[in-house]
Amino acid sequence: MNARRLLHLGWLELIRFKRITFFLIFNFTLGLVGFFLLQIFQQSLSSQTAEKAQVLLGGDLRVEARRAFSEAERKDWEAKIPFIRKTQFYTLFSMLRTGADSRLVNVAVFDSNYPLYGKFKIQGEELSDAKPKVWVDPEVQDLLKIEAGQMVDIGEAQFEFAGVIIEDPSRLFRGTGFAPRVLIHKNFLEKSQLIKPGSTFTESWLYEVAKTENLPAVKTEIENLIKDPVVQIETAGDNAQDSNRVLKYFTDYLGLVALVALGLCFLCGSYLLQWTFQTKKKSIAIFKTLGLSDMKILSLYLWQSFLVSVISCVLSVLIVRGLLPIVQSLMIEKFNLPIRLEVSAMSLVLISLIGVLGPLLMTVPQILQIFQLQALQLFQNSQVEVKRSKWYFLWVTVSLTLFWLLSIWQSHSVIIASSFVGALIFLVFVLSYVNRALLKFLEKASTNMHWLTRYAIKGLTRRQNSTTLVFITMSLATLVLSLLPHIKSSILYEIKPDTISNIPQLFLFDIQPEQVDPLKAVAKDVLKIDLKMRPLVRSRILKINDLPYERAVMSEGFQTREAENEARFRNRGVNLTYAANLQESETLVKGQFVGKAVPNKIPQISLEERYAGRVNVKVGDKMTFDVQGIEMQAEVGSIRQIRWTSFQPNFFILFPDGVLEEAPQIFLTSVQQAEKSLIKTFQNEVVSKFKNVSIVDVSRTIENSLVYIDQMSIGLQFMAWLAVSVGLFVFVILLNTQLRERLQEMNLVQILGAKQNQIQRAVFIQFLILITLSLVSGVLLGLVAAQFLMSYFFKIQTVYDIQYLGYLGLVLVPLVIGTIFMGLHPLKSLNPMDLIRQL
Amino acid sequence: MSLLIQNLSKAYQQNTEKLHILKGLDLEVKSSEIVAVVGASGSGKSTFLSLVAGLDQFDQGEIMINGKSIKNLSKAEMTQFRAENIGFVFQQFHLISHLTAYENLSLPLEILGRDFTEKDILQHLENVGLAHRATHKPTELSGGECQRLALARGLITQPKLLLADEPSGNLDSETGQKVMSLFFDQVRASKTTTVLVTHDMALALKCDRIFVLQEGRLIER
Repeated sequence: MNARRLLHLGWLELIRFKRITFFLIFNFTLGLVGFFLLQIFQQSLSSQTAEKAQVLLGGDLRVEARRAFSEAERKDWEAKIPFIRKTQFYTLFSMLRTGADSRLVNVAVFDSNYPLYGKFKIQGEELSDAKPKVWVDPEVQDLLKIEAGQMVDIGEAQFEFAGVIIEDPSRLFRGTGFAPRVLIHKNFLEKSQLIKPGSTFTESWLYEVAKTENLPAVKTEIENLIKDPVVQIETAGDNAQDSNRVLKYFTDYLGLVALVALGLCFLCGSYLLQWTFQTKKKSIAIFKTLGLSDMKILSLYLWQSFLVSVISCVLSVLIVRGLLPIVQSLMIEKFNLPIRLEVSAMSLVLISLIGVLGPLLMTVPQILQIFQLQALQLFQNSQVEVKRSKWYFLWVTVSLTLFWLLSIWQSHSVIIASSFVGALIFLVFVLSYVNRALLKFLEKASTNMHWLTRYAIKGLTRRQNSTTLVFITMSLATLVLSLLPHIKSSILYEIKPDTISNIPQLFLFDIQPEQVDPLKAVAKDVLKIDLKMRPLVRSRILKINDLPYERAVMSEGFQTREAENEARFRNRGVNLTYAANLQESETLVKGQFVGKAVPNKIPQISLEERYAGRVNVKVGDKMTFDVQGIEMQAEVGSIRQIRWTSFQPNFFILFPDGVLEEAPQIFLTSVQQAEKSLIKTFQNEVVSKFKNVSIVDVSRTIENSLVYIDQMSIGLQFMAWLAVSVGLFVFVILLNTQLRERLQEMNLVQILGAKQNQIQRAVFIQFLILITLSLVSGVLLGLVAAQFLMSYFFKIQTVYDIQYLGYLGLVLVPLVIGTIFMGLHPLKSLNPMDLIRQL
Repeated sequence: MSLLIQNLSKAYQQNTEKLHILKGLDLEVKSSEIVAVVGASGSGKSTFLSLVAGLDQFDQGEIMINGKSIKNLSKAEMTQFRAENIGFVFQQFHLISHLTAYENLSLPLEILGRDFTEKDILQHLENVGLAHRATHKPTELSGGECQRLALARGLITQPKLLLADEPSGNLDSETGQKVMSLFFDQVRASKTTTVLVTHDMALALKCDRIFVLQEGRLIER
């Protein structure tokens, strides 16, 4: 048979088995659509961030530090940069005050050259340096109800409200930070006295250069020149990688949920292909006896698989194209994300690769069986035992490895991807074991039940493979769907002030040493409480175990999240604190914390557990810090956990008393919940008396976070429902294929005296049991997984969202029952005469 | 009289043409008698069996099984009547693949709601030499064993009439002979009236009477 005939034969088979072909195409298309949509989102985000890289950075090159630069060091680095224009920029936190109210704001201090690229869109007056004026984010105006021309206080200066920032070129995605931005001109910075010794601020220098090609070399030169890792040098290209980090993290997790759906589709595809193969075994045997070689039969199957995958790919592209405007308006624009969803060549290539290679990979087990198939055995109707060869296990290994690599690519994290794939494999094993155990129990328990129920249950227990597939698929989908609300409700419970009374109402920072006592007095006077001050000493790590702790140089962006996090920690300075005891929010996990340093001995410090992991130190290691120019060595004496959601002033590194007292320092404190009017009075007094002190309204920050969590969870829920749709689709396919396979059996049961409605009832009971067990297992595993994640990952109390489970049940139960009724369709073609006609 | 068929006619509409398969067919089978129905392919053997089993409606005539006419039975009544009075043995065994030999035998009794003991089922399995295979599924049995099991299932409800449809057609000749020998032993021992449809004349010759289905009618040889 020549190649053309072979291809024609393959095509003909696909058409003849049109139902299965349809199922296969629909299945792969469904999986690809979710994944493709996510790819488009990621690619659009990434490419549009890259396009706006200069605008986002505000220049071609930026030198930035959370400290002031000396003129000498600036001149040194500027000698290396062939710049055309430059601009200086500060950001810091301060309180913006009107007569009656105040609000913590992120003050951005610009000069007349700012921005070097892009343009602010302002409602009101354009940016200028003429008078002390302020431009604010919309939420500042909404909150403080300020009107054009009104005077507001920032630091020690008064500014006239000049306009609202509608579009800030440096912020592609305006996430919910704890302080909105306001802009003031540099000319009025001194008057405002916002920057004092010990104040927290960031100074940035931005440069526009003529030739951007040499920037990486320029950057390296400056990095070699400035040894201080606190100073960050970024090019526009680097910044594009780094911007929208939160959004990128979020899409990474979304991607993993999409991968669950894709994985389920491939699992289902694999089942369908195997099922089709079983029905085609005899034709393959005939091909073999007619002289068709194994290789040609193999080509036939690969060709069919290729056709199915190409059609699925094309369909998914068409569907996604159709869906894009809807997703754009429903998901993107609703959440004010300035992203245009565009199908990029990269997304197309990736989806084609996965779409074509995936189904081909799923064909491998059948291909292996082609070689093992003995035509004679088939014709003799004898049982053909298909042994799993080493090739089969190799295939499983390759498939899992590819899935793992895809997960790394999707999550940008080896740890997350490995945990994800590991958890999936673990769950598949657990679920298949649970399924077997449940079915065994059911069969035993049904001994004295009506024959119909027993027959229904045996239909499940005796078809372990397909039953297990449905069970795993539906349980996993339900698990994903039910887990997310528990995570959300646990986080909400943790951060909701009305449920946890010890979360502070206010958080005060940038308190100068001389302000400590007067501030305590105000608190005592107004709130009748003693404020507990927490000192903050700025430093940077010089050495760990006598090895220099140097800046991580990011030449081509970070490949994984772990590398990125490590570098971020490495590049920034570290704030130290000291205390005699641990706070309520801190728990010692290793070593001992001695609250008082022993004179003439190396001080024993305590590190936060995850921070210690990131900087790779353990108990007994030595760390050397530069504390405002003085070198100081300490030994890691203990590791402790911190409950960050306590919103207390927490620090990664804790020194004992008696070491840092003399170092330049500022203080932080928190104010517990109190009567609203008293808090307001206290806030007003602090704002008027201590103008440099910044106040965060924790409750408001939490409220903003809730909105953010809600938005994120909508995206995750969307993907989770996609996984459930896939699960239900797998269920329908299995129901349909199994019923068709068993029509003969049903005909026989009818001949043996069962009525048609009894048969329908048996099948209904059978699949209802299966799907109920899957859903219940998925929900229960969701509870266990939530407990596990909350205890070991988030380290917070687990709060189950039972109400959501109720809603889930209300949606899933009719959906499932409807699906079963739909799946019972093949029973309409029951006809016992078929048993005789087979003559 | 266990089976009485009078003037049975059946035609099918195929496109514009009406195909007359059975044309006034008559047959009388006495109680405990084994008759063979032979005929060429396409002679109407399947149609004949479907009508006798009450799986299809006939156009004209009468079928009485154990003195009861099946002509006016509703679908549900026919299902019940068939389960209680007619046993089947098919060429392709048609066993339920996920049930064990024991369960395949007990299922018809369960459907009928009849009481039975484990001993009863094992006895029937013993009758066909399969007691040691009680816990095996059809996929674990040979072709001959499957057909023996199918035979046991056909007889377990003690039907008034057994319809056997080429019972050895799917077996090699040696196994076929052994199974059919057992078949005749069993139906004779249980005194079950049997209609055996076959194209194997050697097998037909072992029956009490032979009928040839020709041009829509049965002619005794």
